[in-house]
Amino acid sequence: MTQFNWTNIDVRQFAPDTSVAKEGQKLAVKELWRSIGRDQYSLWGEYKGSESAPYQVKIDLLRLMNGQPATECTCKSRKTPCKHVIALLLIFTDRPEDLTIASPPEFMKTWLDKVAQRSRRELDRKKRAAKPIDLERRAKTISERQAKISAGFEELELWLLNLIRQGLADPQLKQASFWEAKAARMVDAQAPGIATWLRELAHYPTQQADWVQPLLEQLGRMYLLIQSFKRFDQFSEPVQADLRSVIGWYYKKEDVLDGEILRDQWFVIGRREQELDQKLRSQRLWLQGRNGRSALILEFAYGDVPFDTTLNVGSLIDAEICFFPSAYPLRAFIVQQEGEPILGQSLHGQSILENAHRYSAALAKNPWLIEYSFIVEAGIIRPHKGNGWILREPDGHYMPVSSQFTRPWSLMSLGGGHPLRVAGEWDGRTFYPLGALDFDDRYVDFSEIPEN
Amino acid sequence: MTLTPELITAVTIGTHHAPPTGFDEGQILIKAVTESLRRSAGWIPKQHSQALTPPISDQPEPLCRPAAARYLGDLITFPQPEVMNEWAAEIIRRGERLPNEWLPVVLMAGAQERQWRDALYPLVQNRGRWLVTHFKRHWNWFDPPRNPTKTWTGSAIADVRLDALKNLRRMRPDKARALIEQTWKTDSANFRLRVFEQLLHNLSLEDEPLLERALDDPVVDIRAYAAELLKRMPESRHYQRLSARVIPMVKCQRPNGTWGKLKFDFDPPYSLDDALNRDGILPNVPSRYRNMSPEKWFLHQLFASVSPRVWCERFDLTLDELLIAAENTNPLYAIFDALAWATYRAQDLPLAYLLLEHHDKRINDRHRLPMFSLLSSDHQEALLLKRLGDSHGLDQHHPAFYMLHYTHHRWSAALSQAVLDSLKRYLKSSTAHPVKELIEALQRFALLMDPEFHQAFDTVLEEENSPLPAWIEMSNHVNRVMAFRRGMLRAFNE
Repeated sequence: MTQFNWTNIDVRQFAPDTSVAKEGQKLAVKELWRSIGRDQYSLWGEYKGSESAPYQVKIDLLRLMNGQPATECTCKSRKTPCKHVIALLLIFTDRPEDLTIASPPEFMKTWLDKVAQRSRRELDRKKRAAKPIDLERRAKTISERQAKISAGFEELELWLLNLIRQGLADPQLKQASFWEAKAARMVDAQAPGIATWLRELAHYPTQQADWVQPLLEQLGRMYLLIQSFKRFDQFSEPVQADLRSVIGWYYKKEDVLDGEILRDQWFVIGRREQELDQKLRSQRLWLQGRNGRSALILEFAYGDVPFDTTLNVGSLIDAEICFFPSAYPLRAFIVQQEGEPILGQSLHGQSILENAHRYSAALAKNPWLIEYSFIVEAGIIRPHKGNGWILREPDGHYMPVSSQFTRPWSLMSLGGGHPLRVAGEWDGRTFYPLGALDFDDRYVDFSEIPEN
Repeated sequence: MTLTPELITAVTIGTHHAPPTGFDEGQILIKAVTESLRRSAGWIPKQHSQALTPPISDQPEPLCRPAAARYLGDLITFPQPEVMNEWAAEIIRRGERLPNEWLPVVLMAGAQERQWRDALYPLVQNRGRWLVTHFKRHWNWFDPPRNPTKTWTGSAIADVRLDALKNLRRMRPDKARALIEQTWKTDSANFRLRVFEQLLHNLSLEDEPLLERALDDPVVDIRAYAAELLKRMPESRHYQRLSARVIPMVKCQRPNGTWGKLKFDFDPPYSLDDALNRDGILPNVPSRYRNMSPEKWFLHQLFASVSPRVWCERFDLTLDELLIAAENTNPLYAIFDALAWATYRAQDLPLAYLLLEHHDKRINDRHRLPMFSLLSSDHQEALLLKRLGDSHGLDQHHPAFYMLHYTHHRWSAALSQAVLDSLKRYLKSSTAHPVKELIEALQRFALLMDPEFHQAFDTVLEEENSPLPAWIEMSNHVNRVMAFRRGMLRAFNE
């Protein structure tokens, strides 16, 4: 049997949400299944659901352990993995003896063949990608996209100027459809980053008290982007890359493998998931290198597709990291990881002021930068002015804590009034704590704790 | 370069209506972004001048495993809320504490669910108290309110008032009693009865005047409850009055050579006077004793009013002899049931064990089960293993059935196995659809059984050719709960 060492908890964490995990647990009973079986590398089962034909559940354990897509179920659930996959995995982790050891049935063999073919195609695609790049074709593609974005931006510029002319008190600004129409146009113009940005702005007039100036600043930022994009070709590649990043014109990993690669020991300081719109979610995973460099692993997911959670917050990994081009490289991806992650390593921080200086320096290089990692050496969280919170240092310096941080009491309880080393995200105005180190060098990941 | 109020006004109502001097729309937007960037890049922390809250140190107990702590997140929404109690008890049993970052979740859970409060209380720790005292007062469900009098007289919510009373009674019984007396005349009869239930904690002779007055209460249930509490205090005047009436009525005949049997004889007046009636001796036979005559009921109440040890001392009887005498006395059922009632009132554990071991069929459930709950878990298991060892299968009529309900500890492997074997025997002998009572009981047993037996119900059903769907459904439920508990308890060692 392959060394598949997941536990019940790992399987439940693999579920896209808690309801799937719970439903999966309910179905993890042998008697509810028409058949279940396994061989050395895979699991399969047939579950009689509401359809006339039983659902066929297939799991490739080897691929699953390698973090590749490795499950399939014929049910109509939009969630991946569905409750049937979770149930079969739970039977395997909790009661492996319930699974009959046999050779795979026909439906499993067909699927495994299909998966193997897909892997081969993927390999071929990678090989093709490794071939010399057709520079002419690439230039043409870039130029076409640039033209589309420029056309979209021309409209956007007029729209922005018109907004100021009409006034931000215009009641239609409070309607989501007003912003959505322009966001849809930006998707057509191949500027998805602007579309997401516009959808965020739709909340300003309805969710903030003093919203005029913050909204005006965001609109100004958008206007500056349009003016900058008009001079796109005059900028250096890193500056172009930063503009592209805001627009949502992302580089592919294979395009940047000849960029800056850094091997170091990286401490995983925290992850933050955010809903960008009804379908799209993002996950920011922050790493801190021993050399002092920060790295951001940014991922996007549609619908209920789970994010990669193989990197444990609080662990130290030895890895080669490749940075995407930028005037201040921050976004990165892991090229290769060496050895196993180590838990319980300590993390070093700085004062709030020193962190703020680092942020200023970064902003000077990349004015489009928003989120940045702060590690505060000694911070105490406390309530401030009504419902707000601050993180203050023993000497009295403080920064406001983001109202989106929903575990302030956990951070307060962790410290018990003593200063803690706290890591998190700074967005230029507020700090969002992601994790903290307690007095026993235990790193606490706040995303694991229910809201309080 | 700042955004002046004039510019903000112009942007709000529209430059079309209020054109600012010297700026077009594009320049306003550039000014806004410049202002924003200047502020972000030039941000420096402000100074907070208020004094910091005095910090609190950690308690010395080691932390439980992170995986065990994470179960708290699942337990809050787990369909069987009782599992939370087992989780909390396991942390305490192991001499561990919950990591500090989880304490707000404990405090919130206790604030939302009353049923978890007793179990979660030991997890609050000093740090939880610190958090509540300095910052989050409305999470304080574990300490008496600072001003219980205000809560008692000011709140209109019965549960809030009773919580305040309950907490105060545990710490200052005298003050709690004073509060009860303060509003006794204005509180409703139902509420007063619930108030009296709180007197069970720290019951003492100092409560006697209040209870004596309650013997004249117009509400019959309050009179009865007051009499019941007074009977639990042998030093009370009520107990003394009854003893003085009952003891002379009871004789114990010892065998004379080979003649006669050890037994009790009664010489009761068979007439209920006002004094006895005031002391809680009731004329009407309750429905649960519908086969008992008024005379036997009268005798039953009198015999139950005096501690059984009184007869041992008065007639020089061992406990075994006491039971032999009761066995030889008529009316047998009334005597044993009264003896059980008196045993429970006196909290006499050795006698309770003997009664349950040898005479439990002669005792009404109303007294048998509370008496069973007095026993230690070892004694409970010993009794249950004996009961389950008989040839009858476990169903709702089995003598162990309700006793199993009254256990509050995690069953040993031996007891879990015995229950399963007994259930197997029942399934073999019955093709009937399981009654709701049995299904519900088995679902509760899933919370008590050794969770390592989580697949055991499958094996019970495997021996059935075609188990009924209700059994399969019940088995799935039991498996789910037990698998969850098993995972949870294992997480403490991960």
